[in-house]
Amino acid sequence: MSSIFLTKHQTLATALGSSFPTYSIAKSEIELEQGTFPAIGLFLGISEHSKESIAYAPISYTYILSVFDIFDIDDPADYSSKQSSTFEKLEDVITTMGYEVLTDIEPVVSIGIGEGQFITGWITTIIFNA
Amino acid sequence: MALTYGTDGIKQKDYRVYVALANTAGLAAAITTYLASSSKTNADAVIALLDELGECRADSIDLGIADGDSIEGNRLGKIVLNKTGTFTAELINATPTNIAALEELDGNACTIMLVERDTHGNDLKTCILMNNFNLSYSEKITGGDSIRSTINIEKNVPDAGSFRHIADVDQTP
Repeated sequence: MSSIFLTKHQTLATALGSSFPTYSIAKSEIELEQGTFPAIGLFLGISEHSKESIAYAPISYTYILSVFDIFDIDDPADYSSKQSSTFEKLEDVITTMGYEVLTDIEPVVSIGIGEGQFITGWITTIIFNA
Repeated sequence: MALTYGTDGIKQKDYRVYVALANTAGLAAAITTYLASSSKTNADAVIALLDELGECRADSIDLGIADGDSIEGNRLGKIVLNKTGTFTAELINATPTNIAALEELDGNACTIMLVERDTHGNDLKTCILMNNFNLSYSEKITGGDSIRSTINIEKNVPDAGSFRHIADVDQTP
């Protein structure tokens, strides 16, 4: 693997793992679904190319950053608590790692990932110059 | 002349802005060392003597070198006698403390260094140094917007290199 877009993704995921050892780091949606929680998701985004150049010349890379946790769907207090903790964790990740944030932090209300298992969390996009 | 073709230099770059009075103790010596050898250690020594201006609006950081005075030659056409170098940056984190600090720089000879925020290529950062130019401060306070504080330098120089020194500094430890 030689593309900087991909190697940077790996490097960022490794750095996240070192800084947040109690969270599982998911590098794709499937890894998130099959992994353990709470989890920090870092998915591949977009490789933006300079339209002024005929040759392929990437100028910026974006990645999707998220924090998810499992909640009890029959317990509103647990849901509220997990929404709060995942939001604070996402803010903590952005501050700790010094990421430049491209989009708003948006809620992911709830996703069913298995029989009786639901996760909630927050998602945003981070950007790096190539 | 050593022009090379490629796409390596096509990069979108953002910069951190560092500024201080040009007569800051030790700065002249640090700059002399950095200009002789643009290494990470020497660049860091210069940056350590400067203060970071920020948070700035990214696309307000603007360095330009344009043609200055010229003479129309009878055989060769327009002959440019000098260049006009300009630099501006707009501070959006314009707290009263930051505004007061910039007011102190106003009208004084200052040193400004731009350092690429990210790295490009093989762990390189582009560093641009402008040394010993008179700095001007201006501000704009408008309802419904954050306070904008702008710094500006401008000088006619014989060539681009007299206004700024630009180098890619290897960040590998």
